[in-house]
Amino acid sequence: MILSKRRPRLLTLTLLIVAFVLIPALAFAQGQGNKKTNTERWFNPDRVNMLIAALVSYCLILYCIHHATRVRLPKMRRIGGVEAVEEAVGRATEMGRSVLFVPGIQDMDNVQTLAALNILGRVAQRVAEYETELKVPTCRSLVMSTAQEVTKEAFLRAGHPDAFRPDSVFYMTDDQFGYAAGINGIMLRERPATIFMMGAFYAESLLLAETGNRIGAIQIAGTAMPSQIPFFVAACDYTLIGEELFAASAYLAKEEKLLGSLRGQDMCKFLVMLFIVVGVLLELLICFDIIAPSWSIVSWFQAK
Amino acid sequence: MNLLQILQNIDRRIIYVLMFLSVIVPLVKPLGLPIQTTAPAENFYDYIETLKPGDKVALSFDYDPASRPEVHPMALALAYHCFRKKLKIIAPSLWPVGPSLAAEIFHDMKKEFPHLKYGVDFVNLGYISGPTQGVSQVESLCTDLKDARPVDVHGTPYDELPILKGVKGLKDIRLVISLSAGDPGIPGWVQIANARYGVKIGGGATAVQAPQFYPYIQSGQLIGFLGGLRGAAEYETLVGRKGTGMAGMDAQSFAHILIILLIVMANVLFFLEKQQAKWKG
Amino acid sequence: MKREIPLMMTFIIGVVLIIQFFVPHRPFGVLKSTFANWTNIIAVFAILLGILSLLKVHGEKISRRAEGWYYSVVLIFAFAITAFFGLSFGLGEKVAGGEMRNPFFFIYKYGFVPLQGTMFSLLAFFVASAAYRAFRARTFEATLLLMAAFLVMLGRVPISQKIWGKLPYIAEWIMKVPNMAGQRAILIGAALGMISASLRILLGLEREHLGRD
Repeated sequence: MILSKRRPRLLTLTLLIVAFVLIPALAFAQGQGNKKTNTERWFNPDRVNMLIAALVSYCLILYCIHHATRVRLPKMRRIGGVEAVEEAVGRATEMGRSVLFVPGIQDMDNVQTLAALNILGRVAQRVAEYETELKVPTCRSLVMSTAQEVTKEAFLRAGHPDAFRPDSVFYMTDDQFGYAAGINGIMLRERPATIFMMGAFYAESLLLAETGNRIGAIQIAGTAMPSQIPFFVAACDYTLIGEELFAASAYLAKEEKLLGSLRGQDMCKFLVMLFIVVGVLLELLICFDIIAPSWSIVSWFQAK
Repeated sequence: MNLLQILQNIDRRIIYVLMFLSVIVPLVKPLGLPIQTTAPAENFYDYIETLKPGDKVALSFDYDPASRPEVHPMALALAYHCFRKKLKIIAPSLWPVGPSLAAEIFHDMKKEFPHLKYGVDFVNLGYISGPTQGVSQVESLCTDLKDARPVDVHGTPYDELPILKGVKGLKDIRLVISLSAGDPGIPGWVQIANARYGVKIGGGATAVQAPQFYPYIQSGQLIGFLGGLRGAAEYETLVGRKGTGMAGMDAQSFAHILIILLIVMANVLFFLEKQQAKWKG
Repeated sequence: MKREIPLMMTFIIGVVLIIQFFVPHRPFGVLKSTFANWTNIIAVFAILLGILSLLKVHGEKISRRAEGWYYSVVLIFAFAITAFFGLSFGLGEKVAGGEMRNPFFFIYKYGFVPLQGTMFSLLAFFVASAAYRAFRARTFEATLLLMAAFLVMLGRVPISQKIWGKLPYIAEWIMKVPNMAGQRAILIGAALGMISASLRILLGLEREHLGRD
């Protein structure tokens, strides 16, 4: 919405830069040294490095979004899990069985849950087009409400509003293992042909994935929890690892702006890699007394 | 189906039975294998040894009963060490069931240290609610403990608890130990308490989570770390107190060996099948 | 307006929360804790929605005598009993040593705790079956991974010292060096992914969760 037209886009960029650069600059000019407590300051000088990092990453991502709409779609590498969505839903339709979508065990304040719900919208649209049954058990009430809206809208977009059943998106329990036990029960009783596990998971990830494997379902999982990725990789057919979860909704949408943001993300990653290489080289040179310790850039990245 | 295929598709229940036996037999008949301690646990122990009697330490119960078998033994060992050094323990919880687990720890410690007095030597602050990442809870605990928890878990007002006298926030105390099984937990404490206020943080977590905290150990943001049942067993060895950590290590040894043997067997069968296919083809 | 208002609110509140991170002065400095408190309050009321959904789904299952309806009876009965004791007794009075004694704590200690422990313990069995089924040395990288897994699994248990005294140190090195490098890479990648995803949500580019146009 905000970036739908060119002029508002430039205006937004200008406003962001003004907000993040001019205001702190003015605050500095007010004379921070006279202020006694942190709460009296208009700018926390300990966080200049984070402000610069935030500005640089936002500007890069916004630039890439703008560039993608003007020039052409950036080339993207294939992600197996994303490309298998269509096939997975088709498989469920052929077998006459349902699709199970598990949006993780965290609440709406977790970005992974939002990413999962974005993917749910795309999956639900496919499910509606294929006229397959969809089940979405949730672990949090707010997630249930949002998932119901997302699914309903997806069915409406697919032209099958009557096919949507509110009971297909339901709340189970806030408890981690109660939720895992409930989903395992659904898997063993109803034997869905396709299982999506997207979002934030903890120890229950292997319980779910292994049970899904046992019933012979095709499983597509995605999480940014480093400790759970190995379990999904071992037990699922396709796994979206870390940032691939956040990129999946952009992949499925195939919209230029969303794909452009992925390019911006990659450019930020390139910058991080550059700083790591430069930083390590400098630390090595300092270690061997070739350059002075003041050359170290470690303190630039300390968070306060 | 030939023998290779039968073995490759062995019924899961046979694997489950083997796992059950590999765990239950050493528990019933322990071998008493010696535990070798590692640097993260030793650093943790050494830091607590530097604290003086009367120093205050926070022990944050950020886990639930599911992780109790792994994390509770380290909680007991740490609490034992602290009380042996005559340190005082303040126990906040970032998880809803944390206060009940804290109550169990103190109940067990009262048996070993009968002189301990609630409100003087330890206090169960209760659950501090907030978003999943724990950032706002940790921030409020560090800056204004009274505002974060005006009463303890039993409803006793802050000012009536002698242990909390002179404590404005947790940034004023010597060490915060987070016993964590997920979020909120160690990341919140490290990112806020240590990064912003310089509070020393020690951590204990489940074995599954342990690999992700090694960056914090290497950077010095965690003064010590106990990972899983092994970490609990190491700390029990260091403090000289036998507990369920040490008792479980024999079982864990055999369970690991079983998994290794299963993987080796599966790979041997895999290569034999490939060879067979080559010969036929 | 059904979608425009939430999008505007998302943008404004998102920008304000970013600003408050850098501006400690009132009113920005207190905004984060204020919004966190509001989130808690909304989440608590949202639990009612979840409970109603739960009772509705299982109530319908019982009334229709659907397959497994008796489990729904058990669920509703357990829910009612736990809610009654929890609301009536809370965590209860403390006795000597600080332990709580009351029916709610009894349900917690002798019902909830063993059940949670049981579910968690299933992981041991599932890890074994998943390892047997999935860990194959199909490629060079998979073989390296398997070798590392063997060394770490052996090195982390006391029996390794009987096999070879250096195993624990090798396991510790694997955890401290290659594992840590991999964890850091995944964390950095995931963090950048979160920044990009958050920016897309703030700017209204990603609005699936609100229902697209």
